[in-house]
Amino acid sequence: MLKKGFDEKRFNAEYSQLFPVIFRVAYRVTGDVGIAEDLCHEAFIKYYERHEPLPDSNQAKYWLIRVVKNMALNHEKRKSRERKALSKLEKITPQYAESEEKRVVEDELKSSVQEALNKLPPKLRMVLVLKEYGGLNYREIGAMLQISEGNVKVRVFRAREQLEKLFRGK
Amino acid sequence: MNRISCPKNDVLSAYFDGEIGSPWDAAIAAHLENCASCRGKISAWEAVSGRLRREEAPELEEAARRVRQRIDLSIEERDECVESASVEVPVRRSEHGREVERLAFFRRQVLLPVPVLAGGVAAMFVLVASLFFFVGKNGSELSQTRAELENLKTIHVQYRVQNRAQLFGVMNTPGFEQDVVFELPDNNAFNVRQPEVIYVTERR
Repeated sequence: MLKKGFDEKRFNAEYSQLFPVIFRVAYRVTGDVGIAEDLCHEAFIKYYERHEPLPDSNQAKYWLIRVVKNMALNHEKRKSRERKALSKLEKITPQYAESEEKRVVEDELKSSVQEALNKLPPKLRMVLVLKEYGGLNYREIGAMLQISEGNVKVRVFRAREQLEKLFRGK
Repeated sequence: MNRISCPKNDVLSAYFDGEIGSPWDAAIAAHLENCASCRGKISAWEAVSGRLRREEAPELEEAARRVRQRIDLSIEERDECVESASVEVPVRRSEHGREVERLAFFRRQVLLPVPVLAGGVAAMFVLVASLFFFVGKNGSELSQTRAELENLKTIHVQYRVQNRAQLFGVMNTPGFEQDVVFELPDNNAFNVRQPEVIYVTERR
């Protein structure tokens, strides 16, 4: 039995339309397919559990991207804490140095685009991903990240400049 | 339109994103026609954007399928939980269809772990026993005493003293203003076996 008042047809249509956008954002921010899938799954479940449906697919897209962005930031914080703990551990036990080699190999397997995006500072990466993959305008990005439009403009420009240098260096 | 000097890079980048309103967008467009340097920047950013969009996220279609399966499964599990939580209480009806009684909580089988059950019984026993002890012994008398004391404006205290000097001696005893020991008569109002210490805050 589905949720009362749930419009399955509409949900299916929105899923087909919005999943690629949400997945691209999640993947480009986290750089990991598995994590991106987890974030998308959680975001769509939250969307399903919403008491009131959103009026149109554009607002649904904005809502889902915001949820994914928040979860991605939380994931990033957790990962950074784990990295710090691991680096402390590596200082104590040298056998953990193997994981560093593994990470280098994994990075090589990743695409040059993702590799370049991973090298951007998280603040610049997030703004550019929301712009390029989320298709949001400066006002929407500013509202989502709680920064001014002017700040969005500067960050987008800096992210582009850094990416251009990184691509040129390849 | 007059030729304008090169716009700042972030403004040019915003123009590239279609974020510059009229009439500034027209001015920048006119500027670009005559400025190779700014056109070069724009084409570099176009290349960056193109590269970002050309390379699709890996496993997009498979991911869409996998996530959809997980969503369906989660929705199914969630709705099963909701369904079992909102089971309607069965109703017993008379021949005419009138509701006689609801077969509610007491007729439903509830499983409790043995330690929890034993703990609950022990707690109930202690609670009931202590209730009997306090109410039976002191409860009514104590509340009566407190009520009477609260209504008193003046407390008369009788000391066995021989003369005024002895009385003043008692009153001037260090600590008299703080702590006074009363030996109260054993009647309905004061059923106290031990002397009570009353803390006096105001001397009357």
